[in-house]
Amino acid sequence: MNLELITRRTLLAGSAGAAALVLAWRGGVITLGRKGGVNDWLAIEPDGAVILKVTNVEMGQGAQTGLAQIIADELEADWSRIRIEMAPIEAPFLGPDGDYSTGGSESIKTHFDRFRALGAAGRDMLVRAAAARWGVSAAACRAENGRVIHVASGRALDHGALAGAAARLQPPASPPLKPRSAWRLIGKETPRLDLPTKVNGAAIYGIDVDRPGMLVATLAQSPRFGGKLVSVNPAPALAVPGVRRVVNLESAVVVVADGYWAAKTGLEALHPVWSPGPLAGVSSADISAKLHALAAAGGGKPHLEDGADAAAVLAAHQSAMAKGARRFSQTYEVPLLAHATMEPMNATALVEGGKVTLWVPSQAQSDLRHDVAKAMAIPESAVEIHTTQIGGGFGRRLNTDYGVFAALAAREVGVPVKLMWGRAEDMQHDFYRPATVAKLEAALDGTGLPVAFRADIASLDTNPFGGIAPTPYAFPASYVTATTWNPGVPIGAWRSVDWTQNTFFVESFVDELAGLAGADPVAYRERLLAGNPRLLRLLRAAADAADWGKAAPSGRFRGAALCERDGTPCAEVVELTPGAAGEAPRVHKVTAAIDCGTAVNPGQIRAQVEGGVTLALSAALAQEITLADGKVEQALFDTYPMVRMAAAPQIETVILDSPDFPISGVGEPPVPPLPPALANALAAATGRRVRTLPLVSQKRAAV
Amino acid sequence: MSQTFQLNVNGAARTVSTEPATPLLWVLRENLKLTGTKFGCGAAMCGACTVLLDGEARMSCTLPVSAVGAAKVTTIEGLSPNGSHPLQQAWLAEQVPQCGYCQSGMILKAAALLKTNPRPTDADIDAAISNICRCGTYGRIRAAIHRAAGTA
Repeated sequence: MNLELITRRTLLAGSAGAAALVLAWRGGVITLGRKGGVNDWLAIEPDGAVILKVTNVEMGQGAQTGLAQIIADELEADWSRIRIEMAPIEAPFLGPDGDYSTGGSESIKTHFDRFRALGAAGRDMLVRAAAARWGVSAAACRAENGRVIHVASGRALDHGALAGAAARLQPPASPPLKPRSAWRLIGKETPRLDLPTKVNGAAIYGIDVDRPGMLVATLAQSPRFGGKLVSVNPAPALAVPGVRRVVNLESAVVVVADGYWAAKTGLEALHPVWSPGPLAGVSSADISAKLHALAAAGGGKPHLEDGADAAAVLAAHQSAMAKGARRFSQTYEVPLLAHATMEPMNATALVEGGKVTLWVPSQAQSDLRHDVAKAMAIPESAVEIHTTQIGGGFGRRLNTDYGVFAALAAREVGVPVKLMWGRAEDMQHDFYRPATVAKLEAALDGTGLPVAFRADIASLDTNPFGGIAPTPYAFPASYVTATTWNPGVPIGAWRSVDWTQNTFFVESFVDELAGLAGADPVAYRERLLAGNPRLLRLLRAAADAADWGKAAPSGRFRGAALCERDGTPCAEVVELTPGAAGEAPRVHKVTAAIDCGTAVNPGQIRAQVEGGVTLALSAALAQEITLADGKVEQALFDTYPMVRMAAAPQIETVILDSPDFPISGVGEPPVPPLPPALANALAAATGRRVRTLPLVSQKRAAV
Repeated sequence: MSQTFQLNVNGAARTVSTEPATPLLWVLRENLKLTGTKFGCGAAMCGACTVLLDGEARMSCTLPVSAVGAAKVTTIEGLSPNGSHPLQQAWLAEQVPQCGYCQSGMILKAAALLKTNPRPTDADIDAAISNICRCGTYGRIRAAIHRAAGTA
């Protein structure tokens, strides 16, 4: 392994002479490790504390605990002494493309090898330091739970007592990684480090930030995307007790007050005038009609593997298509979706002496720093970001708008300003899961298996191919095109991105093909997956755990679906009782199987499956963001309904290990299979196929 | 006009000066710096702002401070002196929270349930726990309530 670790002695105040062991890492290249400076990924303090720098935020996914498990296991650290700190947004901590963010289910998989190496190197150095002190061979010693032990004599020293001596040794060129069989934290259900503060009110989220002299603000943005603030008379807001300022921004008006209630009351007293923007007169029905027309027309940009010739791929597809015994085609549609995190968007900013300091629940620190610097016309080095606990992300906090607004408002005020969005503002100014329509078509052989596959996607999103080009199935002669059309609706990353829509299309379509073939939907998928033992095993695990093939309890029906999101396959079986016409079904049980290669924390993987299933169930049952005259129609949880306790299904998770496959993420993969599994179960129950989500639409019903 | 209110919060007498219409939520969070109670929707739809008033669960985001009177207000910070309430212990044992933002409200809602119904059935929990958890921790909340039942 081309890995080099730097150690330095560091004097600690009050304990002169005691030194920490500090280990640094930078892309396999020598970097400067310096306590309290940059690139100090791992520090073992003389008092035994183990300080781990992480670049991934905690927003409920448990990644920080998983990262600590990885390093603590290899280090043989005392778990109770692990401390996690957010790394500074500095070069050694940035990703290869200069990125500092948390998303894409990537926290664990990005850092798994690196943290193992750091921990193993530290353990090796502590063992050698102990061996030298005792005058024995390192092979006669072993590290265990925060100590190094001389096996023969039973002598032991704490890691902290050895840190100074270890810091004078050369790090190993090839850190001696433990075999999997010796892992004692990786693979074990390990309690989350952050949870004690989340049951007693002590955790500080962005919304809880308090700074000396701080004012509180709220805002209204242009009700139509792209509209600008033309004018606003501030007097009615300024007449509200506690209101201090009304700040006009290009596309928003901000009311700054002593507290939130005064700011909100002031804001509601205003009558801002907005320019109409490009979406004036546009409705969701218009968008849907346009996307349907584009999908039907096909002819979008084809998805091509590297080096593939478009004409040749199309010719091969058409040739195969002509050989099918029969053809089948269907069109599917999904709506815009909001993230609706429980903690509404917010950020606290102080602008002082040409410098901006932000306290913010962000998933995207490097983007935030860039965007704030650009908006304020200051260098990025003049932007300091403190990341708070995060009350839900799901992709929403990869955008930076709330932080930029806070900085712009604070610039006008001169004291710290906490800018908090109301719920309706949050719902109506999101970066949405893109509305998408797709026409899928297959030519089938005499046994009902595809000999050629085509999808024509029309989406508000660009490049929306994830999960469909390719699908998890080895469809022969596949040809997938996409046409992007967007009149100005903000689009963003919604937990599992393209996979949320494309898995609904593909898995609904495959279920329909199974029906045409007169085949059991799981058995049909198994025929399609012949030659993919990993997915076959996964699907079988989910099916078996769900009692697929055995009679369901009276009145209940099952449906299955699967996806493979960036290396993690996930299969789900939904068991439900259908509702009356126009009513939601009752989902009793969801059985999931997931395979992320190596399961670092099975308890957290189950939690992510439970979360992904529930988020997707809310979406599939009744959620949609719709526009009328360019304005979002939904505002609160009555029009954007959430699954609550009474509708929450029992969720059972089977975790499979695949040690021969790379470790991969778990935050997103449980989301995509749920909506099609639900639609497939409903089709099994009623014979009616739902091809447009959500199942129960307040808007469509009203038409 | 700002008025002075005498409140009983987590067993202590507190005096605050604010507009009478200000919801209790903002008095707790901003005047008294008890930020464990969260703002979710401001419309009594999600339950993130749930506190106990004389032991009963109330959504503080729509409750004017002027309507609190002499009622004993309990927030998550006051449920136990050190996080040792059976529900808090059960929440940790079941590893309930994900992002954790809704959990103060969930725990207080559960505390109110157990006070009147020490051994709730699943149906009782379905009926009583109507708060929103966007992370989908409902199954673990249910398990934690059952775990704490009889000891709370």
